[in-house]
Amino acid sequence: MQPTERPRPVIGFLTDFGLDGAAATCRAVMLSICRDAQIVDIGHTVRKYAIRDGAFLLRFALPYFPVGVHVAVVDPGVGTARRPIGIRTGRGDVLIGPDNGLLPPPAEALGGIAEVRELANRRLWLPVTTSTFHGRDIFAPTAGHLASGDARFEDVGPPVTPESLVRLPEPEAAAGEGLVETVVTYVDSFGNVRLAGGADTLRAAFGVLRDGDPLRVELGGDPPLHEASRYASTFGSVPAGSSLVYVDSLGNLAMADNQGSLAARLGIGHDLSVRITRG
Amino acid sequence: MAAPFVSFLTDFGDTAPATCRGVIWSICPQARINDLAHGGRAFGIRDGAFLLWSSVPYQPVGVHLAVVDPGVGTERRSIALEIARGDRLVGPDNGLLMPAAERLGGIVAAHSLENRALWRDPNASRTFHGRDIFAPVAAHLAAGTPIAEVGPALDPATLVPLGIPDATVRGNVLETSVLFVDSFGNCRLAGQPHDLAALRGRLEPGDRFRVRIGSDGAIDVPWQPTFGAVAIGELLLYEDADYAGLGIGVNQGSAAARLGLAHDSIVTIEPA
Repeated sequence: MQPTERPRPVIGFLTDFGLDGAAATCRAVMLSICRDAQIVDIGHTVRKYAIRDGAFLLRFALPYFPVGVHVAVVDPGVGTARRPIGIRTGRGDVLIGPDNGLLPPPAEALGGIAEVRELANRRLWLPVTTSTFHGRDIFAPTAGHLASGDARFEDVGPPVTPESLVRLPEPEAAAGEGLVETVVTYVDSFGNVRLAGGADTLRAAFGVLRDGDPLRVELGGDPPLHEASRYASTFGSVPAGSSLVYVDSLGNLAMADNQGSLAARLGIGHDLSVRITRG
Repeated sequence: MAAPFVSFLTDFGDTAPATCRGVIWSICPQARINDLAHGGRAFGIRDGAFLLWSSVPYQPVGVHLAVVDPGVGTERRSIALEIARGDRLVGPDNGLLMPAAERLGGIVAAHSLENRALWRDPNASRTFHGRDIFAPVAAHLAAGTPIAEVGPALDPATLVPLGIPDATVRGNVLETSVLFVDSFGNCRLAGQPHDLAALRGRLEPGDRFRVRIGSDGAIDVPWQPTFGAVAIGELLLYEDADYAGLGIGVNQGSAAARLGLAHDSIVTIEPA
């Protein structure tokens, strides 16, 4: 590379579009405007319409990206009054997507929300827009123009106050003496289960835990499922097929089976309530 | 000059496309490859042709490589097509490329991929022409090789045709069928919104239609501009922007599951 050459712009891209080509059409629009873009597909098999899953995955992936323009579309309200927005982060990224709660959580992980604008500049959109595919018609072309440098963030549309953004309710964990009360926030493709709370929640309830310390987990109610589990720092610390309570690579409280799907074995779905006590 | 663009569609699944991408980059390292789909769900020639047809207008001018090829290694020909917009399409001569070629303005020239010097290995395998013939020829075209060098010219009239089914208006009834079911369970129906408009002389949000699946009883479904215009779980008829035509869907649900729709299901629609 010549020292004067601009690095290729990186665009992170996440949708719930599936693998039928709709994401590829959006990539094509971005590449038509910015042929140099390195588009990194974070995932397109996000659970349909699951805005919180999308936000979780963005928060999981984007801190490891170079600063760039990132596009996220989990958008059950496409074509309704929900606003198309861009968020400039403290780190310098621009996040493009719908104003439905999807973008603030990753923005917080990228240095916070520095500036928000509503996408209103039709010169940065496709010439013809539809009411059911804003990923292709609005988000992808706007991101392509920002990535190519032929538009600046100020050009995308008028500023809006960060306070006016739609926010997802943040699930919370409560720690008492010897008790964590939490909720399932995300189930990944291994069947590992993320819970609200983190390492400090465990510490507040149980003090210092060591690998193998037994924990009793109560899932849901009416009647609850009981799982005899244990704390461990990683999967291989327990026998294959056994469950563990751990803190994941982002600091989230989590549960899993070593080399198995805890979610499938116990039939765990999103928003299930979880109580953890000493075993 | 912009880097060469290659779009890439197959029914290969997960790993074989990566082998083909490796072959493309070995010949044309600067190529920007856009994976359209690789059969996240099993699909046939018509599905591949339909996805290519719906996507190509949004692709930059370039080389479009498509391999859904149940006849690999048989007598079916391997072809490259030059298209009016300036694109080149590469794949098997089984109809896969034809609707996309038509949508981009029609075929200017057709060639048979017989120049073994452009193959990855002159002794190509019988079962993986994607890797051995199509990907390397596509890469050479992307790198600037003139299309005439890939092999002898073919009469476009001899290419295997493939049509996408259309809808028929009979009196005040639109007879259509399911062309494609996407991963949301939205069903793209044959025909265009103007076919629905023809039934009643206009088409406005909220206009209601009676929809029949096969010989089942009629369901009342509104025409709406987007999913959120109806309540969650409710059906709507709409203009499917992804796949450029008439669609039937459910707001945050699957119309295919709700109505038991699959490819080629017969659907009739009349004004309510």
